[in-house]
Amino acid sequence: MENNLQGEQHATLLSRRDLLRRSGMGFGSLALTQLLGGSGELNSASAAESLNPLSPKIAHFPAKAKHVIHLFMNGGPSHVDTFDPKPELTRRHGQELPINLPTERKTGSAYASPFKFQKYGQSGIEVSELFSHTAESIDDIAVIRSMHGDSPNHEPSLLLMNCGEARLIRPSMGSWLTYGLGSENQNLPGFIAMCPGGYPIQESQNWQSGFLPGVHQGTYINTKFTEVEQLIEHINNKFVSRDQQRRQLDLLEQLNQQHAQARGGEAQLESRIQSFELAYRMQMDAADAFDVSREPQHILDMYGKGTQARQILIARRLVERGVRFVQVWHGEGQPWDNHDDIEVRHRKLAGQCDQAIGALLKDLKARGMLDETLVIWGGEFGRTPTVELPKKGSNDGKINGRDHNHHGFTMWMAGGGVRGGYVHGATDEFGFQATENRVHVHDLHATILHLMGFDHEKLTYRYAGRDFRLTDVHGRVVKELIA
Amino acid sequence: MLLASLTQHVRTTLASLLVAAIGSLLWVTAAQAQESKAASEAATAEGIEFFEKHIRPLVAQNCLSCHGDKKQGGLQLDSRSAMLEGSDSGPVVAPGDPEHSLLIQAVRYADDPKMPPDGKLPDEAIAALTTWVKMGAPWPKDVGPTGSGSTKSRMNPADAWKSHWAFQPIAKPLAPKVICVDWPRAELDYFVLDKLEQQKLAPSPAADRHTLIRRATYDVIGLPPTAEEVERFVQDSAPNAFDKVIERLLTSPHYGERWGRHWLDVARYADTKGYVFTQDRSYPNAYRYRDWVVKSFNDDLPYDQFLIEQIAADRLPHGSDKTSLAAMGFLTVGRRFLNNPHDIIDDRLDVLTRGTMGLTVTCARCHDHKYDPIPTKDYYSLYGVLASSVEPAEPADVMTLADAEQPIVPHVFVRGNAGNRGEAVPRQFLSALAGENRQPFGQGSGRLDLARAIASPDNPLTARVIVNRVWLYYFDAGFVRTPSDFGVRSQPPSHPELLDYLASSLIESNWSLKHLHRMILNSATYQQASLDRPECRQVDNENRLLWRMNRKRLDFEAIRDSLLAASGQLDRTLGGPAIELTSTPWPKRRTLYGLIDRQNLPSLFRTFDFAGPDTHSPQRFNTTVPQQALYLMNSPFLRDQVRSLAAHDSLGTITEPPRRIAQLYRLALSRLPSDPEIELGLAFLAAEDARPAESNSATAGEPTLSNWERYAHIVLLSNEFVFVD
Repeated sequence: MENNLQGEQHATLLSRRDLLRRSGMGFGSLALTQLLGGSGELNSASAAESLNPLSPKIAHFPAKAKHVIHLFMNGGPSHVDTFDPKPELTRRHGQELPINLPTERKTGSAYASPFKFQKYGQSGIEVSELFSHTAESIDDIAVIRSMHGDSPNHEPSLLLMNCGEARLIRPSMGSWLTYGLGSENQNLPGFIAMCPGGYPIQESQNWQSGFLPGVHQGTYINTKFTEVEQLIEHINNKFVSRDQQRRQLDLLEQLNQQHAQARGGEAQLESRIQSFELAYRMQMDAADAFDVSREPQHILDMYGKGTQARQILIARRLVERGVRFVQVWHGEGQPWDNHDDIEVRHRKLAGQCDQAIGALLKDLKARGMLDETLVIWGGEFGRTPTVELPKKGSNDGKINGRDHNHHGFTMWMAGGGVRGGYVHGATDEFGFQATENRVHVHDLHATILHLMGFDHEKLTYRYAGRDFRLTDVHGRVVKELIA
Repeated sequence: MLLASLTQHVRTTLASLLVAAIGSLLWVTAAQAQESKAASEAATAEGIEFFEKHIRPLVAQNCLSCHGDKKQGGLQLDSRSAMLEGSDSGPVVAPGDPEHSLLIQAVRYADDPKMPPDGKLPDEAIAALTTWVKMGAPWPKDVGPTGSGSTKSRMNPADAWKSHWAFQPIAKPLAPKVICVDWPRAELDYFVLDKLEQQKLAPSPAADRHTLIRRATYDVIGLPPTAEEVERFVQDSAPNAFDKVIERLLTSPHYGERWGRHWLDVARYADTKGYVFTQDRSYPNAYRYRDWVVKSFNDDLPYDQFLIEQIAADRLPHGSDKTSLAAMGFLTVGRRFLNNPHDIIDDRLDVLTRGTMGLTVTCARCHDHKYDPIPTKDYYSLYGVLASSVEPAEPADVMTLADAEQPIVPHVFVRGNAGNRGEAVPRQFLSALAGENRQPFGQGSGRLDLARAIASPDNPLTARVIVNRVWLYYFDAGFVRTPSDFGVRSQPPSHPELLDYLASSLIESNWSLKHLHRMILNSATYQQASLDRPECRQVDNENRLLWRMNRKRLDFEAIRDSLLAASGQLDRTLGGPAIELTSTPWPKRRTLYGLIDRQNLPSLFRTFDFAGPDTHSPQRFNTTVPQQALYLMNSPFLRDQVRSLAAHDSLGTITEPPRRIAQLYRLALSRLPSDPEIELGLAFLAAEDARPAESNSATAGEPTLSNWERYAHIVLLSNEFVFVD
């Protein structure tokens, strides 16, 4: 078990003061001296590593991106209806295409997108009416139209997208990043996965820590709820007042100091003493972070109404407070999985989130946070350009939807050092398969890690006799995506 | 600015490298004349022995995977002449002069290049290499492996593993001589003391009796001692006072609960299958395996038999009593991977091989193991054994296996792809362990043969692996720091002779784990105080040499069980179906009996570093995070334990506050408080009582806590409650 970050801690991304501010004075004297070596450098190799694995660490090389917001359109949004316009598909609507690749189910003839596309921004990139708010920031977005994966099924594709491996137990991307970078705010979890209503398919495996310590597992938050005590377990005490608790913790501190002194002091004793102070403050900080009503009215208006707006705004508040990785799932199950009624359903789903995503990008930019926040948008795969054929038991038999498609789909990234106003790669003329500058999910992972300051081949963890990494034995950094 | 400093750094490194290279070049040019003389002088019998014992395995295991030929930096390290020839930038060994040997500089990690690149060698290894170079780099006469008069005595990287310590037969070393002859209480202490004395370190004094019985009670049964038990032991002047404690603990049924749970970490035990679409996920009978494990520990079932039954109980005579078939849960309670048979078998092989032998066999699923002697063919030989086993419906409601009517002939799946069948392989044991005369397994699937091969006294790994695990649970660190990987890339054991001594003793005792427990518990090593000693820390920061006992933090189960014990609520019933722990009314059973949902393990378990039930878990993590504190401060479970503790029967008749505090300490911490502790408690209670009643800020409808209860709560949150000295 070793952390290959060791010995690479030369740069100092966080100043002492910065650290104190972000942790809300969250470190006691001893914990702080452990975190900051004599020369003020961070030292993850020390005892502090085992005590609080979320203490901030330095990446392999300096990078712009410090946080990630991953907007997960689970179920699989259709690329030809959103960010990958295909006029040829429209022309051949209803005709059999020369290409029809195997997907989960049988599909038939070409099915034109019912949505209008138009050019946006200086770059003139075409986006469909479904994401017109998002498209206003297109000059900050790199659209990857040549994504591809390994399987047309939800389960393996979700695991591949999140953990880099379709079947076996591996840590998720957010776990890898908190393992590599720690978190900048000890009063909040470092990796938060929000999904309103319940779990997506494959459930908490999507944010699993695998063989990494459990603390790197994503903290699941059901954003259907609005009260902080429904969002984070045990965040509120229901049987003593805060003042009473404060005085109790003062007594605890005295008892523990006596205990520690009798034992000549020890890092793990001191660390546990500090954990109560951190927890005490977390009660206030978490309540604050999740309470969007503290935002001014114009911000609330900008994000819009509804659950999506609220959770996307929460995501901004979390990264603002130093949370490393926030994953925002659209909803329980697989909402974007529109085998039927794609026009109605995609319009409804995009209607729920587009305004808030657009607001997020503008808001981050206005606050000067877009540079250090990598925003990722996409599903576990895209959808076929051909119409799904009716089959009893698997769809409603309406012949107006699309099947899963891992041969080619679109994802986009913005901020965090990404090259804006740029389209990378392309699918064939119908949108069935990635053909130019193909980007595999492993390549996306390698690129994301690079944007966060990691060589994806060197962010490793020794387990079962092997050095594991997010990209396994694959992955290639897509340099063109980097500004 | 960063870039500038980086460039500067590179420049400095290059410059120093260049200086080092030139320096050694000059030195060697001057020295080459004397080379042949030095070589013959160095190659004394003593020098050769040192080389064979320390250097050959070290170089073979750590260097030759890259430097077995000249591909890596033009440097080959498999013979003395190759080392003297060196790399493109010159020789790497200057015989007699470690300070000018690039090899030594590289392994010291002082400057670039740092070798081996994936982690610094242990200090002992670096010291051995330095000594060896100082000795003049002795190497046995340049005779090829075939004796054909080759000019270089080459090491063959393909055979390098053969000298790896873990594949050597288990020795029965004699206890070494020590200086401080008064200290050892048991034979194992000589091995520990010898290493300490070599570093001029002294062991710590013995722990006091309160500390000792608390430590032993947690270690053996996972529960705190009662105040009465502590007091009885402290006052017992009989010479066998501690023996009595040990026997009481080892015969307690709670011993099996504690150590059974350790084994369940190895067995990736859970009560559910994981994600299987919308199918029913529960393993309603998994608990029968858990109960079988607990009972086996309590009965001190010989460890070899314990393993054989878990792998092949169905092949053993068991008459009409089919309960022993539950042992097979070891293989069958794993994740179901959407019912993909290859992944299910892979998971079972992983538990089997890492769990019992510390071998990472599943690394060889797609290609030959990169480091260990496990060809892909061996993986599929074992795969064939499990693929020839089926899960029959069993009236005894146990999750067993049975041999298929017709065992399969396994084929290698090329690159792990089941659709790409390669050559056929027999069902047989691992080549590295089976030796020259390997025979295919004869009976049925071969599971019983496999079980016997694993549980054999001649298997060099099995006994060592379990001894290392047991040691780890007592000392918080094993001799081998990777308890489930004893392969060639693992760090060598801190006390190889002691590991072998204990492993051979285990086998001689007919694999009795209770015998092993007694040996450890009776040792002076185990009974040391845990007080930190900065002067020892300077020599051995990690306490690898055991100059004190490591202070341990209670794990999740022990914390929850101790809370229930302190509050007087613990239900000590043994066995039975799993129960949901996180819903009210709170179950009062031991945490061992809590339902483990593999797919969505309650965050409470993860927060407290519970073993992830997805795959075999070699060792628990030990993190300290505020979510742990939040649970202890705010959860209704804690509140309810606090209220029970504060209203404990034994407090009922006591009215004087100091005596109430004293009794509270006895209940929570098994001891009486000191005067300053009583003062602190009294001061807190007096100050709180003097406050005007607060307007009720707590949630309506929830019971609030009195000042006395709030005080009791803090005693349960104290560091003393969760740390064992």
